[in-house]
Amino acid sequence: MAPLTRRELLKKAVVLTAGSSVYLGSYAMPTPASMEDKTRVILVRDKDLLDEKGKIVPSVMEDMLNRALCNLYGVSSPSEAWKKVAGPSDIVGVKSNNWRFLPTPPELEAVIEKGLIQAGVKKENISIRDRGVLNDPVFQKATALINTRPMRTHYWSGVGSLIKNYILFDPNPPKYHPDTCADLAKLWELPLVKNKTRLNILVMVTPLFHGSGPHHFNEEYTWPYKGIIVGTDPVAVDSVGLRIIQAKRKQFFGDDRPLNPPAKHIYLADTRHHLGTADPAKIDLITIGWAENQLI
Amino acid sequence: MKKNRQAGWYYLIILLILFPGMMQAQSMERFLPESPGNDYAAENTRFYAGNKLYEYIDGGAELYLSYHYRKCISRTYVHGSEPEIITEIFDMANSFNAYGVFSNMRESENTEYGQGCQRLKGSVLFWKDRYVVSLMTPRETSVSVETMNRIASHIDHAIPGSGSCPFILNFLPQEGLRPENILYFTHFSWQNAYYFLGSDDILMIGTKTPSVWVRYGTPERRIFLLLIKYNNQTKAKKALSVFQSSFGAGTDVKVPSQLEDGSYFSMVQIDNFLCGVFNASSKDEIAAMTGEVRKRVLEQKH
Repeated sequence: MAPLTRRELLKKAVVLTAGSSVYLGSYAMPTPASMEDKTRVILVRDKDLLDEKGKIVPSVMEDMLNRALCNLYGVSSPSEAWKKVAGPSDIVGVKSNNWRFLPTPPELEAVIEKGLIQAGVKKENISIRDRGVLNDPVFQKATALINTRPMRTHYWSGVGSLIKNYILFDPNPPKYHPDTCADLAKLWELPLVKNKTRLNILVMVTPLFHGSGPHHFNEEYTWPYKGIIVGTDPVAVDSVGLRIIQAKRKQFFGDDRPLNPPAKHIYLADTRHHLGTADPAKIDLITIGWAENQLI
Repeated sequence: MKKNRQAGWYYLIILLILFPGMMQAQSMERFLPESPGNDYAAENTRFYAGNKLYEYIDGGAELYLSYHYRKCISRTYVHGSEPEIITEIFDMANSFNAYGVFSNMRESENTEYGQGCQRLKGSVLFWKDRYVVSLMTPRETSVSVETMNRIASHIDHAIPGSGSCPFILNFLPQEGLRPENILYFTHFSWQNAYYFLGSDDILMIGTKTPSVWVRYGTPERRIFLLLIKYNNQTKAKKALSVFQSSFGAGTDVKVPSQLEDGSYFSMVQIDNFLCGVFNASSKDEIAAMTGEVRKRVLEQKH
């Protein structure tokens, strides 16, 4: 397979077709394409999401997710929207992430479960977990998956993304590590996963934009963005999240500070594996709510 | 009694055969305090060697593996009412690797502990000799920070001696060089650390070729230097050829050349080194930087 190089990305950016700017800092700026064939991604933010102690206010989180779903599916009520996600005959695995420093918020998991039950899914046919999905009977029989995790920078894949969140569906995760996780999109071909994902929710409540130390975490490198990004295309949702992380790095460090290593698995999920689109010109991004310091 | 002693020796020999790295990791226990004071107590000491590190820090282990780490000890200090303090010491086999891992993680540098240190909210990171030391408290309180400092000081004093910085740093232009803007590595995965060049090993760095990225200039106007030291001139020449064909620029990368974004770059061979300069605003800037590296290489070689 031919290497992906800076020159190639620049040439593509010059002809304005590829979403390469996140890999090149501000060097390449794609222009919008026509509205046809665009994948819809919803970014919702609410300045009241966190209370004075920094804890998530459950009712605000519920409202944010419901608004996102209504806009994603073009319906007027949350109950209609949840029916687009799943129904009474579905068995639903919710793949979350329990990394100790920045897990999928339990408040969000509770909202997802409530929505699924509201759509008619039986409680016993819902499982929400991270580790142990391979041995979980619900995940083994799942007809539908919901994928949710916080975005954070990562020492080996550039960012911990929605694409990467399925790595525990393989019993041997390190096999996806070569070339700094270039081909993580292959995970989405696994039988337990393929064509089952109905919804992707990227948590951007307090994202991590830079790492430090063995655990790659320091509170100094998080900020209260108070958002979630929702869509059906994991590559498009990750691509939007990545642009926000890059913008925050530039704002914080004062210069174009590329991720080390670059999160090329998101770009390659599009260009090499055709899982979705990473190209901003092909993403119909709808932003809702608090717009201050939106960074995108 | 004699039988018990014999059995103990057998167990020890079997352990050394089966888990040599693990046993070596235990030897780092001597650097850690048992009781750091302020009513903190040691709890949950763990040892890791080789790929076992995945069990502790998942994919983050790849960073240490790419710098040829040998073993790790992790100890958590707990308190009845104060936040925990997580302490790790990584044995990186030599001081070059220890410096390299530190250079890959730090954004600022001070001399508080060891041979180079970074302090952030709730954390201290430093390197000394062949060791990288990390201390972290998830929530800063005056007691947890004071105790974290005590542990850091204890480890700093317990590790004897110091180690050399990688030799390749001697060839870097000194004007405008700042410690926090240097990243040393030997694994091709870090070839894009400061500036994206491409996927795959397009410079034949492999896993053991001393290489360094340096950021010069100001945040508003950066110029990047990449210096790679190959075993011999033949390997350097071959690597340049691979880079020229992979980077998609043909032979014009031998001299300063302009990229599609308007910036200038070059990649040239100097003895057994490759010297790349990127994001320059002019050919003169490239010539000055490359000339300084050439002068240093030739001075130190002859």
